[in-house]
Amino acid sequence: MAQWAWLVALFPLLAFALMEVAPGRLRLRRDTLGTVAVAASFVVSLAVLVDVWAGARAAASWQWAQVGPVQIPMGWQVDPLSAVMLVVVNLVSLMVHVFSLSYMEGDVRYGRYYAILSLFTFSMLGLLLVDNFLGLFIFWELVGLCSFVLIGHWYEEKANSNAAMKAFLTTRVGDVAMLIGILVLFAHLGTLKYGDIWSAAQSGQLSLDVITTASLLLFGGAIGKSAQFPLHVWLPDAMAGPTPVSALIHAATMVAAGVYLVARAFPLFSLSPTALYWVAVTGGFTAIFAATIAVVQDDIKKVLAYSTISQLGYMFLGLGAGSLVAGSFHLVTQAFFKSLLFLAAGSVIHAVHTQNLHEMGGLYPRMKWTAWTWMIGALSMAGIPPLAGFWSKDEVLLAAYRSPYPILFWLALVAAFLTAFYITRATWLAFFGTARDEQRARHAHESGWRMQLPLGVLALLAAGAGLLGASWFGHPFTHFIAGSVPAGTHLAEPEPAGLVQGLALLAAVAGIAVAGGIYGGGWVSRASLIRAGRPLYVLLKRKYFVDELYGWVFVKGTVALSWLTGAFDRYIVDGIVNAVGWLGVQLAYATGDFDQAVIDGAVNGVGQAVEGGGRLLRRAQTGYVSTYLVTLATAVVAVLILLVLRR
Amino acid sequence: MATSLLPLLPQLLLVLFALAVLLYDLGNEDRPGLGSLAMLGPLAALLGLGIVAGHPGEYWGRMLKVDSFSLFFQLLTYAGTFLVILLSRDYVERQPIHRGEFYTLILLAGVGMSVMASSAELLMIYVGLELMSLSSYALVGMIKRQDQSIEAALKYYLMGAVTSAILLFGISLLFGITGTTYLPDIASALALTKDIQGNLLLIAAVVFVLAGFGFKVSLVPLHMWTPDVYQGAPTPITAFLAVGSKAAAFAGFIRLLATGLPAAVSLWQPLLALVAVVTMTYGNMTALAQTNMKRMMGYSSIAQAGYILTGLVVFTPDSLAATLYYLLAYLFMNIGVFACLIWVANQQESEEIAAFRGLGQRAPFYAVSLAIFFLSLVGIPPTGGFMGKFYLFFAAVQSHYVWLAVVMVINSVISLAYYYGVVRQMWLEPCLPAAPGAAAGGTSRWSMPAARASTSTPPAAASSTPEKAQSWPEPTKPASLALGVAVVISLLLVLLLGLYPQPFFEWVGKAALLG
Amino acid sequence: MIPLGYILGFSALLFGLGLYGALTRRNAIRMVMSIELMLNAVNVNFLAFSRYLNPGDPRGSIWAIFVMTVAAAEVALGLAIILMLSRRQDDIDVDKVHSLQG
Repeated sequence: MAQWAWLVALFPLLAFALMEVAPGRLRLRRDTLGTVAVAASFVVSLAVLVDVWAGARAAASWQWAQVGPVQIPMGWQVDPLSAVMLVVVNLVSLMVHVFSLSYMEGDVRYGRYYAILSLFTFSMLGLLLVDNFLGLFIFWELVGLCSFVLIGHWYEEKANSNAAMKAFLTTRVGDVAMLIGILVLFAHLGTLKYGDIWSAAQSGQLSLDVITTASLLLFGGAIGKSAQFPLHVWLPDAMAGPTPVSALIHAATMVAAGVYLVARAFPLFSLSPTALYWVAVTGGFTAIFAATIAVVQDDIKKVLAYSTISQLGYMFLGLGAGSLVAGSFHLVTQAFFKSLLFLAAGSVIHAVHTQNLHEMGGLYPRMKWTAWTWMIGALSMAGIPPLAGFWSKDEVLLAAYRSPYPILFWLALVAAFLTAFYITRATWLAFFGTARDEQRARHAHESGWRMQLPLGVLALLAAGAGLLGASWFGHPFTHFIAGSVPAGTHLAEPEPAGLVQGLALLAAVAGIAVAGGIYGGGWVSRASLIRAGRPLYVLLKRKYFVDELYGWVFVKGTVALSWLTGAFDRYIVDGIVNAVGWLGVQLAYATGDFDQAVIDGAVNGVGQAVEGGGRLLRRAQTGYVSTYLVTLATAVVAVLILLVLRR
Repeated sequence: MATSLLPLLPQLLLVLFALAVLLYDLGNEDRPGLGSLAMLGPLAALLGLGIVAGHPGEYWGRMLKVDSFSLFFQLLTYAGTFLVILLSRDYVERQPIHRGEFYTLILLAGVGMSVMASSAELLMIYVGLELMSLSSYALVGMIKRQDQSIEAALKYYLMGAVTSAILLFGISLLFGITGTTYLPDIASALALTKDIQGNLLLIAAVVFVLAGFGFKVSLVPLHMWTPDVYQGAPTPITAFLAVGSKAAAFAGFIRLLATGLPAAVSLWQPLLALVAVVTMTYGNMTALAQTNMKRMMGYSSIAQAGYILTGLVVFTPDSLAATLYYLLAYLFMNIGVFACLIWVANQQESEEIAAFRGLGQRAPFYAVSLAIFFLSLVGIPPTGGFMGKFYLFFAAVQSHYVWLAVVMVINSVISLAYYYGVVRQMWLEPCLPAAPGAAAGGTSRWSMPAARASTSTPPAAASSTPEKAQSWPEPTKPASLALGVAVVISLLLVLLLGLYPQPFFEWVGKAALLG
Repeated sequence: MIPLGYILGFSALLFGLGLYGALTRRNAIRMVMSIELMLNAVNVNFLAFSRYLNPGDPRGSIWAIFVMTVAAAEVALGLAIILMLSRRQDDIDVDKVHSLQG
């Protein structure tokens, strides 16, 4: 079955193409078409995973283009890492397709929504399947484009389109680094194929400096796509898109592409301790940084967004600590529990028409299904055994604990406490306590099977998927994933430590207990808490002022820059014009009747020259062809003088 | 004798059709099929090119050169000329433009461009350049009743004449230093020169010659004509300047540097590197602040000239091939943008960016196409622009010009912002009704000065007081088919260049050898 | 015979004068005339180089003839554009047209 893996990407592409070209009645069936296509993809990807689990591998490559002696191949491959991710992406995408049938019902751009979902699914699957960096970059940009369109789905609202642009531009900053990283590898090795690059790197064809540089540049792309500090600012804003989109793109798949990139390039990263160190530090810092912000968010989607950033930080921490398994395992489990949380949040939002946690409360009796599935996701994320999040977080913590930088372990432990705290807070505020908005709570209700089914399926996985990597069964996932990297890659698979498991569990329970105490038990009033920690509260509430800082630096910077270019026109060019004018006057005096003698032998030589010079002085504005000519001539003469002097 | 005229067949055919258009137009301004006759010109030239392709070599006392390089640029020229005439068909109906002269001049400019690309003798390159330039000056000022058109023509003419004198002075100095103006001979003479860096005359010659070509491709600081002329010229001519004129000037530029002045590389390489960086940055920064679409495309074309120039700076066979590839993609993406622009201008009687409001709902085909052309201009896969940029980056990084690649990538991010401004108008702003004049058959031509004076008001308001003083023949047919065809052709090629670049890679790789 | 250097100096001066005129004049016709001056300097250069460095080689003269021919066409076109300008405004002051800017 593995050799048919390319079919996985084909179905959504065909669906998209059909949706775009098919006229008339078929157009109305875009939702069905998209859902069926993804379902087909899911079935195939499941078969592929089974096949790969049994040890099968498949790849195909053909020559796409040739530049001089350099060949640019294009091709696909399946290995354990991509096989697992194919299933995850297809599953989440399928769930989101089904969920959206109800959630997006009656939307103005319902058809387009499904078309772009299909295109996104295709691009994401393509990203997982390709066997080279150029293909990766192409799909990387395509998923970014789809994300851009979907964030701005309700573009009538200016804030939404701004968020879309912010997301696109911010991630492009990372892409700049990534593209250069790819080019560095290409320039040194003349190939873009993963396999060739890994073997070249491992055989010592690349110096350590080049490996470190290329790895860090690639990681730059991952920082942008996976919303790590300092490029994390776009993800919370991206919540402007429809909630199912947030679940698919901004929780489970596209944002995970950065993690996938580092995991995919692990044979390269693992050769450079420096690169791994920065991956770990960035991940560890982001994990705790975003978790603290999530604690004070009032918007249920923003809580989940910062939580996603924090969890992605965990994955990078795991990878940076040298454990491929920890990072990729958490990638899989997070995809399940976070998309579950997002869809559950969507169900709540659909019912109460608000995203503000303080306008919810008391929803449990009316939305038991949503509440229970949400709580499974929450407990899974908090790290309560035997749910999935516990096992994967445990792997990450363990890797950090055994890594050369144990400080990261303690950071991650605090982040684990905070995770449990903020998700408990959100749970309590949304579902329990008294309804703060009676009106909304009274009208809340479940929204039918199309929304409940995906919640159920994902809850099952958020609870059970962790058993794949559980120590009870001898870490089957570990052995499986290790097959994704060439033999000889250094994989740090640390000894389990009971201490780590105990501390992790303690942190989770403590987080839940403290949050439950404050919000449920009423130990302290929220107001007094805010009063006590006022500066800290403001700092967190404003997200450490990062947006403000960027706004200040970039907006002010752009203003300054455009002022500078304006000033260039105003002062430099004008100055030259004026100087030439002045020179003209002087020359006119000196040469006497230049006009008369040389050009037309007619009237008022000096006078006209003076007048002309004077006018020239006043022409302090572009639009005048004489200004242009003077600039042109000055530039030529200046360059001439420069070259002569440099001689 | 007949055989010796053969290598000149495409150009001769083009001249023949130019004359045919001129004669057919005599006496009667409403001849049917004039545009179709003009379009046959470049098509015939393409056929002629197919014949000439089998006879590489140098003819006419080394005045004429048929090699893969010249074939490449001739093809580019003829394709560009064809598409520009396609764009013009609608436009000339709605504007007070004399069709016969207009098409004739376009064809003659095409002859000039193709001559520029098909010789290694500076004399021929100069004559080609002048033929192209003189035709362009006239074309820019073709809307005789419109102040901005005349102003643009005047500015273009004056600056062009001064720079062509500077260019000639440089050529005369080169002639003095080497005793020849045949580029390979110049190269071999310079190869014997010892102190390249210290030769005052040579420095002056190189600087002057670079200024001459740099002006035509609009490099900063020789760019100042570009936005004004782009804005004032008839829109199809703006497109022609952006793709045809620029490509031909780059053809001459590459031929000059690669065939004539490789020995003086230490003189021009650092200079052009600096110029390339300044050009792309300046173009992109200034484009950000524009409200007129044509003017914005003017600054965009300045920025693009900066990207293209990097290929010359890096100066390896790969980088030159990348330059050619980029020019190829650039042709189609720009033609596409201008086709959409003309379509919108026909509807809204305005060329302001605000006229693109609600295009996503009014005309999704044009809106989506325009978005794809923009993506290509920014360099986002899977478009030809991405492939071209990637190839350029690759060539730069391979020759250890990593910093140049970095500047380019950063610049392409900046450029996203102003293209996005248009995209936002298309989808994010409410729809505008078609201007009353357009609904009534487009009798009134839009008054651009009025639109400019009030850029903040919607164009519909600005054009609500159209000048009806003139009585130009009424356009009756809803002739948007030609524009649609141009968009489709451009779209197909932009995507083809992005998805299946192999044959084109081979082609430009061969052409870049200049053999 | 006059040394080559003198002739080159003369042509450089002529070119400079022409450029100066093109930069400082506002009257379009005078600008065109100044540009002609620059082209004449080029011709002097070509002829001098041809005569002094490669006597018997006609190339310089050919160049001069071409330059003159093209210059004639250029002037004709320039006058046409200036004529259009003069129809739109009373004089041919090039700096009175500056609506295209920014």
